[in-house]
Amino acid sequence: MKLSGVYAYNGIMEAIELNQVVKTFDGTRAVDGVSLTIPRGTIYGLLGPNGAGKTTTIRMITDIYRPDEGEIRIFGDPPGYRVQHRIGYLPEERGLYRKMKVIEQLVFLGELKQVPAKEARKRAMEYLERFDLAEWALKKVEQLSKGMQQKVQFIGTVLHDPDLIILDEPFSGLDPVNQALLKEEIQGFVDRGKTVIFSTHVLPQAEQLCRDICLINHGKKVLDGHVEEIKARFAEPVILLTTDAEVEELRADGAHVVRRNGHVEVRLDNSLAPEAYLAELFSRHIPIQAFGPKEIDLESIFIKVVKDESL
Amino acid sequence: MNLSNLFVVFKREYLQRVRTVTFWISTIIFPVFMGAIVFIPILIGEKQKAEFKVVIVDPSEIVYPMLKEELDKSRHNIELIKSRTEDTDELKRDVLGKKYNGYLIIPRDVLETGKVQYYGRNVANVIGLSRLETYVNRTVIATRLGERGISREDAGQIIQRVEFDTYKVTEKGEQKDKGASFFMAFLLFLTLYMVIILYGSFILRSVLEEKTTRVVEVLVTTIKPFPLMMGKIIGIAAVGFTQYMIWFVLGAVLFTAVLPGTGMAKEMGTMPITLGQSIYFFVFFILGYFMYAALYAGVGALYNSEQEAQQMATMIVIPLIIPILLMQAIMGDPNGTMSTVLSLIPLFTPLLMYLRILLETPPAWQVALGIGLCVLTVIFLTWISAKVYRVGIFMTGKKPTFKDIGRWIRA
Repeated sequence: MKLSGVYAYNGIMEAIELNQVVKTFDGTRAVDGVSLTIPRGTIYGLLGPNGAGKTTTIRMITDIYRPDEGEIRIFGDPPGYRVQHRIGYLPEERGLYRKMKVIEQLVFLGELKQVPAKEARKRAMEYLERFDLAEWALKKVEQLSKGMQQKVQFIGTVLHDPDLIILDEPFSGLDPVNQALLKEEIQGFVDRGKTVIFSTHVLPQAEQLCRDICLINHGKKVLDGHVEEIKARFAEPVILLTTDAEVEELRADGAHVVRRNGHVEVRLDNSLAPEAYLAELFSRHIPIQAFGPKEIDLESIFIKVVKDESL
Repeated sequence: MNLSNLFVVFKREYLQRVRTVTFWISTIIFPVFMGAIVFIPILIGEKQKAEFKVVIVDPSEIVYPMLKEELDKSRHNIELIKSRTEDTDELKRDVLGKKYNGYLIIPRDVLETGKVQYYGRNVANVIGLSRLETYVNRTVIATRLGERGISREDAGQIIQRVEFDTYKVTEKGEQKDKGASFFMAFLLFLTLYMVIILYGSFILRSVLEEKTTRVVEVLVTTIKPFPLMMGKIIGIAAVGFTQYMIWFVLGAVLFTAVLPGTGMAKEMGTMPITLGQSIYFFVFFILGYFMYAALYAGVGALYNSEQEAQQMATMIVIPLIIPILLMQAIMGDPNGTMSTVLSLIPLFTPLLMYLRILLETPPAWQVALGIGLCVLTVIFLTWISAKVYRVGIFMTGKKPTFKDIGRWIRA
């Protein structure tokens, strides 16, 4: 693979920088002073509920909207046709010419992005092969199922081998097999030094894929950073236990025990270290199948943050 | 402006249309349809020629012998049969029994009253009846003249109609015109009008399609709207050009292979369309097409559904129709102030300037100015349409107001 991650470095480490960006529609601030930095060569999650301002943010990056205030830099340049050919954009509202054949459609999209027709056709066939769509190449788009159309559109998004790939809800409407296929492709791009922006309201998906995320709500950034760091920040001193023992047997000073379905949650006070508690259980000869810290997921963090904010 | 992107859009618009079955069906059906309009009446005429049989009741024999002689000499196949009876019931029976088309009664006092009666199954057979009428007329008049001592040959000359030949005076000398120049102007008007209406709506739908299928979001992040619009307009124009070339070739083949020998070929031969006029036709056709195409593209960009856009699209036709209403005035005074001013209004120029060129060559600077203004208008309208397209795209849901449109153009 060519070193496209390197050739365009021009000393800038960030793929994208947003600085105090504001976009107002009819008096409503759809994006309200968002600043964020998207590092190169990672999958960046742009997360938030429906209507949070994710798509508006993306549309400003892709130069569909101009920000009312603030500044955007993509590989050091402002949004516009100068950087457009380095971006591959899969909009949330998919769109393909219904009456066009799949392969022609892909060649058309490739040619618009300056890929010569022959090369575009070759790459498109390779992708169709990989996505199990080769036999549909000569069918009209309208004959394809929603899921197939989505895969075709994804191929159209990346056919010109862009440095920045923006995917707005790329998994919606795909079955688990195809989701896995797509994840693999996305991972492949990152491995080759590409930057991926992954926008979704389905937080568990982002949790699996992204190294960095930004959570937005009502047009404002709620939090951002490395997923692991965010999780560590919000981690609670709670231990998950898998055991047949009764709740009473597990009680100790500074340990609050609750049974949930299938497992037991133990909230430890600061006075009781997890190791000490585990030692205590061993000394009572209680059989334990699993013992570990409770992972907090992004969804819980998001709910917690939004709740705290509104208080 | 990125020409390679313009070409990619052009190629898509062109190939996607030309490769459809619909394109070929319409390309073939249209000339067949037009051919039918032209040839069926001719064929019907031929048929009527053969079948027009008339019984004449002329007891005093004032009209019959000469009429029979004249009709037999003529190239029209009207068969005149002398009746054996004066019984109208029997005559009616024969007519209804389809032995004859009708019967003609020549009263004894026909020379004084100038009245004859025709009874037929079909009295709406205009061609056959008017021919018969002409011959009866000539015969009666010749007979009246004969009674006053004028020979049949002289009579024939006396009643000869005056033919009115018109000549157009041009710098290249006199030219036999016969009003064909007006006919050609109007024919070209109609062609332009038809093409603009038909292909304009193609452009409208093409722009709308991108919006309804949401392809637009990918497009605007890839290509600037101006080359996108231009690519579309030129691509669809090329489709029309292809279609017209096919028709032109078909027509040429038809005229050279089928028509010689018929009277129509002779008439076509006398049509005074010069090379210069043909070139102007082409130039104004292209300019007119592009101007209205850009307008249609703009309307397509403004709205989100064909129903909404259709209302506005109807309005586009208005500046197309106005010149047709003005034609009469222009023809009266092709180089007057009013004609000059009107023909320099860009949306009117293609039709009115062309008409002026056909009628009486206007000063060259006016033609050049008209063409220049048209070119500027094309660029300006395409630019505005592109702008509206670019900004109006994501205003889905509500119809834009004129205030909105103004804001988008300034954005």
